[in-house]
Amino acid sequence: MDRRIALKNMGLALGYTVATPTLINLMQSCKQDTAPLWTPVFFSPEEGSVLMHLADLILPKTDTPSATEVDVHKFIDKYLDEVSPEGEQSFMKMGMDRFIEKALADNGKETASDLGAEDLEPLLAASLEKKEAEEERAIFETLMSYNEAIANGEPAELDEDVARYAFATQLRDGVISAYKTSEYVGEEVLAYLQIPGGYIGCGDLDELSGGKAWSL
Amino acid sequence: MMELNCVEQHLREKVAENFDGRVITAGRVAHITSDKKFEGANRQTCQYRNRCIRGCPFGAYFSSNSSTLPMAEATGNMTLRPDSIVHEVMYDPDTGKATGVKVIDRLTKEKYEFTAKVIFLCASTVASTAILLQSKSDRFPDGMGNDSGQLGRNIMDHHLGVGAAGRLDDYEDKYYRGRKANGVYIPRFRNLGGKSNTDKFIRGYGYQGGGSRGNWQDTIKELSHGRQLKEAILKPGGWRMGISGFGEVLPYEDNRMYLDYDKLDQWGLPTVTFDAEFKENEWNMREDMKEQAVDMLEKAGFKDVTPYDNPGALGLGIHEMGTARMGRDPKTSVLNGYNQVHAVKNVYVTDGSFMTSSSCVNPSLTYMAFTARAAEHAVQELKKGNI
Repeated sequence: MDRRIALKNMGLALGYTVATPTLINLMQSCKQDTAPLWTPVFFSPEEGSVLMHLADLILPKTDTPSATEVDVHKFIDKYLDEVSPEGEQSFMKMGMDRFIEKALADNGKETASDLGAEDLEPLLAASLEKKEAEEERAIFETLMSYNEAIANGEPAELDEDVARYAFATQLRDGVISAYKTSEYVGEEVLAYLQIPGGYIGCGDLDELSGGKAWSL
Repeated sequence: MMELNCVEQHLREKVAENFDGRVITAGRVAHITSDKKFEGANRQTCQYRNRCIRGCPFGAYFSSNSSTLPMAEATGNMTLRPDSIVHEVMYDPDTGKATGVKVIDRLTKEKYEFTAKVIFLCASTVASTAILLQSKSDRFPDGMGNDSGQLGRNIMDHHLGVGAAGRLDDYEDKYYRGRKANGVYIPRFRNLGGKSNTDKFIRGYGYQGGGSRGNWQDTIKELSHGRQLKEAILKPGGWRMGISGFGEVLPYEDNRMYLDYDKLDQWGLPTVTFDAEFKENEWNMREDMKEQAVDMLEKAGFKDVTPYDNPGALGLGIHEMGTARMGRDPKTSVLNGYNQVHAVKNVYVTDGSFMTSSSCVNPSLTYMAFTARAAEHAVQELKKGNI
């Protein structure tokens, strides 16, 4: 199953998106945003807080920076606001809503801003749990017909588990892509190739890149 | 030469062992990879960024912007007029020659006429054919050069989107450095005589493909989030390789484009309608393209080899050609052997529209070679006073 086909309108799978000038500007503007308190533009402040927790649960701080330390949350929020097509925007809003509803119910809490990382972790883990091929195919079908209905302007309701799964996996793809394309990770963490460049077709992994994946 | 990476070399060796006479070689791209100097705008060697699609700032990838336009400008004889929509070639019935072209400025919509002794239409297949179809006169009521009725017919492309991909659980301690702009090419091996012949279809196909190390999803789906996932995304994933066929499409008279005067564009010009489809030979060929792709990858030890077949429609290959075909007989063709319109010798058509068959290889270099040949012919004919 190719989730990218199922969610064709979901550009969050940034791996497929080349770094266009728009995106580069976005990344730069994320970096320049030095206000101590971040105010999201696409999500509400409460949702923004959940987004930050989720991003750092997906990629926590280790000997390398966490997702939010390289402003992944700001990038995703701005990307959804400025680049995403309408279909993706409404899908991610809906997914975030469903996710927060369930997290509040699971934890007996009232508002999203009360949700801490420890409240969100079990639900994130459950939502991202590896699926069997059969199950993935069923989810794919469900998403396809949901997207089709939405595209045709018909009323559609998505199964809650499917919504959370789609939201969580899309978010994870977005977090990973945004993390790997951030300036710091791209230049300092991954193996960064500058010009003048050259090409070696087949060599020792450790010698060529120190065992790391190439940046970009 | 851009060398093959580890899995591409692997496939080359295994295919050579298992398939008589099948070759896997480097994909064909027009990049400078040596110290040799080329004319143009300060062209440099390839930096292996594989950002060719954006337009190469080093001029390493051949393009008219880096190469032929600067060379033409350097002669001092070039006037470039952008935003010009040529929509008609003007014709003088007294001399039997074209006299120039009519142009609409794309931005201002002002109309201009330019006169010339010789005219080269090289606007791309569909556009050049549309210009000729719009060039109506008493002599050519169905479009300039359309005495045969073949103008706009026999449209071809390459059919693609069929092949297979798989993973190779090997070479985990190997990698590549830099991003080359190509992968591999597998030249046509069908219907070349002897054992290569098949009775299922005529003509043949080639493959383009490539291998690379993927990302974490390939191998470690179990990692949903957290520390281990983070470690995994920073390392190269498993090797994958795919090959994708490019097949010859036959010329069919009823595969055609025509003008729609009921649906005009914003400049008041007729729009183009395509009426074309793949037929039996293409469909039969695709079966073989899929089967052979799977067979080669599996015999080379690839795992989870998955075939695919997404035919799309003619045009997806963006190798459209054949709508003003060349031929000896003016009754059945539009252009003569030097790309001249049979009945209007000072009009040359030098894009893909002159092609009579599509072969299965990328066509740009063929178009360029024919264009250079036609230009040389035009110079000689002008000197002789023949056109």
